[in-house]
Amino acid sequence: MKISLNWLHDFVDFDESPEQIAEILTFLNFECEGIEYIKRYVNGVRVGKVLEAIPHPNADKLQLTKVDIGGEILPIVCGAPNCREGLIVPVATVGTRIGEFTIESRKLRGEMSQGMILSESEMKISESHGGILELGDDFKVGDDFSKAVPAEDAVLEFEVTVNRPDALSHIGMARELASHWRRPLRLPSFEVQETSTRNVEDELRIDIVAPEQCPRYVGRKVTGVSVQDSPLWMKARLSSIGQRPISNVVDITNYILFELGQPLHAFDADKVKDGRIIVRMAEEGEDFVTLDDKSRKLVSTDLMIADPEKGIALGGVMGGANSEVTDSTNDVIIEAAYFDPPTIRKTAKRLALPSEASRRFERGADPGMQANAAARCAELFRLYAGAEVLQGVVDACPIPYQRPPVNYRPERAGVVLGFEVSKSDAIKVFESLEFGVEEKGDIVVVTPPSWRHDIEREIDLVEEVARHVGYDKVPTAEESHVVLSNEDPPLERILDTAVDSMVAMGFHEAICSAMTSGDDHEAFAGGLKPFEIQRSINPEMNVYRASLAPGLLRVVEHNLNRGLEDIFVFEVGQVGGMGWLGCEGEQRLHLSFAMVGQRIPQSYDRSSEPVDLADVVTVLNELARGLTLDLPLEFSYDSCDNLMLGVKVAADNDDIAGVAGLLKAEVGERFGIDQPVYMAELDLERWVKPVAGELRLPGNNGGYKRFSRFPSSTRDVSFIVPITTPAEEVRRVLQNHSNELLEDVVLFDLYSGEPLATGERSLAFRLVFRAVDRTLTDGDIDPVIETVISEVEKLKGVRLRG
Amino acid sequence: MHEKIVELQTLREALEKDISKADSPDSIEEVRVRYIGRKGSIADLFKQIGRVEPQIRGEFGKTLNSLKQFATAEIERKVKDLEQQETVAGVDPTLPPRPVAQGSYHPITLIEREVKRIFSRMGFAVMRGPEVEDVWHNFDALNTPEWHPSRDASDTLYLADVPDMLLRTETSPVQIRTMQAQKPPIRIVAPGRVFRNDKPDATHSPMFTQVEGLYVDKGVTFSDLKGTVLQFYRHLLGKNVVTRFRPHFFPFTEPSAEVDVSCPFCGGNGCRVCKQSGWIEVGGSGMVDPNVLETVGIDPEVYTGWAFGLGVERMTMLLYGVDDIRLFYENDIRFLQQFGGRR
Repeated sequence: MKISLNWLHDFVDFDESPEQIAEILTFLNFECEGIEYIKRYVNGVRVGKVLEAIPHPNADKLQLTKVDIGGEILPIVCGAPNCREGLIVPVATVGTRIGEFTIESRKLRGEMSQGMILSESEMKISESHGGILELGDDFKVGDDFSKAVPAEDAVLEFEVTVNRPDALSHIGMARELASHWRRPLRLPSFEVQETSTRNVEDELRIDIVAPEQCPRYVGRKVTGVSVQDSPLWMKARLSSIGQRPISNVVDITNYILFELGQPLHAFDADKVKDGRIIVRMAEEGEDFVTLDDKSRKLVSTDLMIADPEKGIALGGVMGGANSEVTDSTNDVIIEAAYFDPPTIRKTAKRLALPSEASRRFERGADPGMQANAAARCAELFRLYAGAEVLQGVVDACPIPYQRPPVNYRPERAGVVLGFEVSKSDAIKVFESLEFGVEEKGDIVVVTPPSWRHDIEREIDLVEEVARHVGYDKVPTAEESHVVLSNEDPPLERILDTAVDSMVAMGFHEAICSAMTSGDDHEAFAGGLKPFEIQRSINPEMNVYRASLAPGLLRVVEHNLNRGLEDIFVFEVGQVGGMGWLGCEGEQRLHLSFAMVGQRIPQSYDRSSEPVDLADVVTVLNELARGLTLDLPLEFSYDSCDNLMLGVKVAADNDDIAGVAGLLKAEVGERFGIDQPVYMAELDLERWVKPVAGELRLPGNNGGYKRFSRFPSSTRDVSFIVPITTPAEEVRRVLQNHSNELLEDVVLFDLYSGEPLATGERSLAFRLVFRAVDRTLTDGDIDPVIETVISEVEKLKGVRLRG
Repeated sequence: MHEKIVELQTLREALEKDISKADSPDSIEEVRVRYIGRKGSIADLFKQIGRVEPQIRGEFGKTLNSLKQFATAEIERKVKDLEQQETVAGVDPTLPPRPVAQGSYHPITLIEREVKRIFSRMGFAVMRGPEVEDVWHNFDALNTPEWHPSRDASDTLYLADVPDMLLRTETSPVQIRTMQAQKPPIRIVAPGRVFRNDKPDATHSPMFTQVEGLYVDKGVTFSDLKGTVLQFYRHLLGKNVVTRFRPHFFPFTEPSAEVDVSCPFCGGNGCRVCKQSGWIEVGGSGMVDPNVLETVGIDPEVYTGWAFGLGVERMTMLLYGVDDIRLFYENDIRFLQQFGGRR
């Protein structure tokens, strides 16, 4: 909302600077978003009269004029086509600055010119390009022109929050300032000279068929309108706040909108059949051509302003082309209405027709302003459009507005604010804002004025008090009472730990958009069903993700495309949708990681080592250790979802908490990745199964286990096994058939090649034995070794390596 | 002192000198042979014990023994020193460090954790909630009027196939869920991703991260809000910053305020970061609207509360000087790895 300070001066006295006004209103809820300093080139400009205008002998488009500027007659060469004898015009004399240049006495194509006849745009009064400005008879030759249009103005742009439509006007902002300063507010005059002998009641009838949607509709009528330019001061003010002057009829209604906040509409009275206005709902499917000459199909929730034959305006949103005021208009019907906000909102939104008028109606105009606004409009038509005003007014008000009083308990400010505001101070604030105040014992009964839709409850009054006393007056509490009220939910620590573990393992944390592409989900795995978004921002963001993997693969692609080679990234984030890791529409916290390139990067004294499946297992293991979880892994050499070589992370029972492995090359290719990608996705909640309030120890959830102070004995055994026998299978046999003395089984060597046959490999395990109470002897260990060897040799094709 | 004893002392001094002069395995070996070899000088002296006068023989023998022990230990120490010297001799300490697989936290996580840490010290617990929310938690329960523009599909992203479900526009629904689940006192911070129907550009992202704080109890006031918010920003941005509160409108709170913090970079004098204003707008705040409390079954006559929020991306951009919000979600490793440091 733009506010002209010159205009504001009409309603409240002040000599504060624009910056001060900006500051005051900013701290009253209206943030100032900018100050524009307006300078018009009117200083040194005189009112002149063109005594003669003859063609320039040497130039087709120029004229030689003689201009009387009061006691002095200047020769001026003028290029405006509308320059002619008898015009009253603004004249810049020699030495006057107009923008970048100073008027000089000089010859134009051989003819002397001592001044310049000005247009509105040259003086920066408006953007009008209608040639030199033609002044009316009310200007006196020789006068200082700057008396008519002030040379300077400051325009402040404010953010007006949606709860304060009353501040979408100069009066509204003036009221806030007047209250702040405790200075009087001057309303404009609402008196109207009803100069016509005709009576409006004979010529205008208003029937409201839809009272809920239109509780009040005020009509006036003027006759003998002459459509022409608005007065200069009005043009200047409208231009200042960014409104283009059009004609007096349009400008006057606009002017009142920005002055009082009441939108008005002017109908050509001759186009309103029988002088009858019917306010009704539109027929479903009714066609209506609006002012912008567009035909629109209406629905039954649109409010129609109609005459007995046809619609003439789309209530509160836009007028109709069929009743528009034109140059030939003689009589005008003025509409000042109060429309139901949701009704206007629905129509303006459906038709995508936001306007200054609909913006005010849909937030709530002042239901007490219609008669005044109509009167002011009629009076301005009389003054600036040569109209005569018909006697009387038609005020159709089927539902009079009522604003219920609100009780205010003075102690409530202290309870909410932590700062006592005395009853009398609160009352001063209310009264300065023109609220009705009545004291009933300890309670103050406050009746909000018609324009304050936002005052409905006591807390609204507390806010008014806080706002006008000033938030800075509320003391800043030195210390707040500290209580440990909540405990972090267990998942919070899991989230942090998972992130810490991944970072410690050398991964970069990524955050991907949770809105991602449905195609990417499809490309990753056909079964994923992410949530589709209704009106997505772009096709790359048309679903809410069901998996972190597609986003992470895009990160891999991005970095590969930019020449990076070793990409270790992970994300912890929410997913939704259906179809993967048992997700059935609920929100889950997932972790996903991807590894591409070298596990050990190449350096001057070390060779690189590419990532392989063992790295995936290692990461999962470390993650499990960090989260103090056991890690039951199931290995699968068949395809595991979209992974070629996969690992399933089992939770309890048959639940799968995650998958990991080598991404199928064809899936990678769909993401433009031509390198092996090892990746995993885990459902952290399903895996960790946190329980609120349950003891979960950091670092070691199982608790300390006593370790032996006695030395260990180790035995190495190695087997020749078919290449298809997983090492884990052998390890499990060794583990399961040893006794309690076994401390650890470690695969310490892996060999294939000569002299072993093709299809065979050798696995060498070190078994570590230790007792808690003594040093072990061969007699303790030999029988165990014999047992485990014979058990392992029961595996198909396995034999002890000699 | 007997001359025989003096002789031993002289030998010890000569030994010390020789050991310190030895600068290679060969030269120390030569010292070893010369002193404690089978034909070395100490062995010679042992042979002479019988000829030493009886009254000092005991002392001579003792001293000689300790000299031998001393020589053996000192020579052994020197041998190890020289061996290590040799190992180190070929090393160029100016070689570049070997590449370490160094991970990194996302900068948004870093600042989010900083916020969590500060609030945790003030007794606030972390609460999280679903990113896919229902209309009731996201708007209705937060006192958002039916007509409020934030409900429009032009502002908010709704799910296509599930009615009345949306991507939450703020983390406030977490406050509602918490207040539904428990009685005051309630002190929580709710970090999380939120979504708006905004076209991505350098300063706008359709997804961003918010942290909101909520405190509900008996006797909680606007004054407490001001105090807590000030303390929070002093811990986040330095002890000299000040805050100011400007009236504003949020459906969820009343009275409502926008919070400005004095620019931590110029001390409020005006600089490029604060656009010469000396102030930086950091978020909204206010007293929880009585309607909201009533909706979740908390009596607004008994309890009051405040809430405030801040945008993590904006704060992160400010603090690290990141000039394009899209960098956060592009996840270019050259960007991410800049945040691998520890504090």
